Amino acid sequence: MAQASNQVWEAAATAMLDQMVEFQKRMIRGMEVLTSTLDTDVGATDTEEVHKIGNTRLVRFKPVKPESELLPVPVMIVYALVNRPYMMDLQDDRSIVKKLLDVGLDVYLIDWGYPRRGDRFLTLDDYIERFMGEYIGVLKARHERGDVNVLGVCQGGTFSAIYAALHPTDIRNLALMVTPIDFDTRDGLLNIWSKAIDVDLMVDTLGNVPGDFMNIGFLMLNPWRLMFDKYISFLEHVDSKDFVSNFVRMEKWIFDSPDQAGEAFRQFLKDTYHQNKLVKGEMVIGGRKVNLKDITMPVLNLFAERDHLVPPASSRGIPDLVGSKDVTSESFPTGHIGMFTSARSQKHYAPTIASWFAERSKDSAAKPASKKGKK
Amino acid sequence: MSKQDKETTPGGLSGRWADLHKAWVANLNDLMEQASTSQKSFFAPDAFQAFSENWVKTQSEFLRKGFEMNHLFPTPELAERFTHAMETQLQVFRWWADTMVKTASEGGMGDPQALVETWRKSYGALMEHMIPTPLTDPFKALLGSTTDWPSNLASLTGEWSKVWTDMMKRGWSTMSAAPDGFVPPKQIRDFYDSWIKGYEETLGRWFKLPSIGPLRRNQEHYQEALDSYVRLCAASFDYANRLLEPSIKAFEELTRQTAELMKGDITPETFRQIYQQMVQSAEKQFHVLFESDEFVRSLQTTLEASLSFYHQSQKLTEDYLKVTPVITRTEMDEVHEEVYELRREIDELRQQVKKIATAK
Repeated sequence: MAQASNQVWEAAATAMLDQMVEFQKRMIRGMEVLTSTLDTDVGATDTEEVHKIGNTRLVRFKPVKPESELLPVPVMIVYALVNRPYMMDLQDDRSIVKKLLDVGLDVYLIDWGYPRRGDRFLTLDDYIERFMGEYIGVLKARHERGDVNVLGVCQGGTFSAIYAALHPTDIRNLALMVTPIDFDTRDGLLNIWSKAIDVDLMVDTLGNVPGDFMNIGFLMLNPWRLMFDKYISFLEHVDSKDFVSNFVRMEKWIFDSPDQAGEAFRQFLKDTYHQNKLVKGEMVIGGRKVNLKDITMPVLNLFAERDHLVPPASSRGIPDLVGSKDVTSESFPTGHIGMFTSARSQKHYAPTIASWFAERSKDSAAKPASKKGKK
Repeated sequence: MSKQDKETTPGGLSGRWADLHKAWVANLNDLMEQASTSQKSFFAPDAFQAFSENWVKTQSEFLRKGFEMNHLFPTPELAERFTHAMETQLQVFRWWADTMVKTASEGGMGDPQALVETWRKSYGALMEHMIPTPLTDPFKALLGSTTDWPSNLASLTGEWSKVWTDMMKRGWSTMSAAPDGFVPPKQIRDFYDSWIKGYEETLGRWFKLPSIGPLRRNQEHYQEALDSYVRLCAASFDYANRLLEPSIKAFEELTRQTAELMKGDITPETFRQIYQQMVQSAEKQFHVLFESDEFVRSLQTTLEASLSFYHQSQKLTEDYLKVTPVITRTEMDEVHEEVYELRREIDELRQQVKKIATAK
């Protein structure tokens, strides 16, 4: 019995030693990978700047099809303020932008930039009415048409929904991706914790809310996975150049959080997370109340079933809240980041958006982009 | 003195304070004697008495010579009053020195209340010598309240020592009653809750005293900053303490799971499963904590304490920067706000011009 027990332990010890040796070899290979030239640049597609307001700018992605074959209704991507938008075009094999370009859409994106101390007095009115309004105006003039497509992502989706409600004639088709509209839910920790924030004290003390504060908040949502397990997993694959490149690229994005303009942050947190004014029809932007029922254009609503940042409950009710008769709502078995970067995102989610826009962007009065519009 | 008096009156409380210190003073004297190179060392009672007598004598000689220089004072009467005042001060010092010698010889601190009373009287006598005109009643009352502060300090110190002593006793009984020396996080939190309550009843009240004088504003900012720092420490501790509980629960769960896993074949895969179990257990327990109202309250308190401390520090920094050519953050914000308003106005005017141009 004792001999059998000893044999078990001996076998286990041998296997452990083998594992340790393999680990050492992996570390050596990993060092070779880390010290080699890694492709960690973000943003797979070339862009050109079309217009600029302050620190923000409107950029156009270089089309893959000839200008004459582009669909007449351009798509403007409105991303969140809390992260950088190159997540939509992170790398060649993980790019939602590429899928849109592949079907012949003319794709633009608002880059909100990095707010400086002088931007602390920018409000939601500025972001939604002034900046979005001006950029849509530029696109309308550039394409000589009265409306454009908008793809709103996360908080950018909330902005897009508000703009679409206030200016429905400006938007041809509205796609919302992992967009929070109903903030009164306990399904997400952000929704619970946001109640603990005295936003007046925060903004009055800090001015702009630091990007680092946002980073720490996001990490604390799942500290074990995001601060520990993730890096254990990194060590397990450190000898793979592709893995390391992708990992570093993601790390760049995760920790590239801009500061949040103080007044806009104050207004957003109070009006949405604290008072849920949007679904109640009490939110006021540009002196006007936002009524989601005024969203009458076709709407595509995509959300993630395992989203820990924007819980499904925040997005699921959009079809009932808007006034549109043409609403497509679809959920996917993935998390928030998975909607952009997973393999399924490339195979299913991004093509869903692209084909939805393409079907609704064929215009009998089609005109190629004339590249008009002031900078 | 009755037991109640001992615990409630300033004299009683300071007497208890003295009792606590008698042993300390005795030990200190022994230490001094052991440290001295000879029986007649500086700190021995006889040597100190000789020193104080010499000091008083040389001070008197020095002052007399100074007072003989008439041009120091505009009138002879003022010079005479000042001389009497300084002599009284020397007498006070003489009395203090004699008392120290006496109590050192007796090995105790004496009656602190009597010390306070004598100090009051000597201070009053000093003020009477220095101020020529008869004191009006309000001024006497002010002096009276001023000379009361040692008693007030003794009573406040007594109160504080009572709170502090109670807290230490409770903490000690908690620690010593803990099984295997392990104190549950909640009990540690209770201990620190009573600490912050004690702070609010004692030192916290000092920080809230109104400031007076030319540096009033700076003083107030200091007090607010110190108070906010104490609250930040307390809030941070509470927050960190709350993170212990899920860690302990996750570890307990992991221990159970590991015991089960170890019953089967032990391979590297077993350890991989143990690791996965550790991460899943921690994830689950932390999620339960993070959703709880208690944690949200602690988070709220900690965030507010951090921001308040940061806010107070900024105020102090700006106080110092005011006298320098460095622009402060508040000043820059004022400029930024003005620039923002001007930009908005320009935009609106542009829109109007555009409308007019389009209409034409």
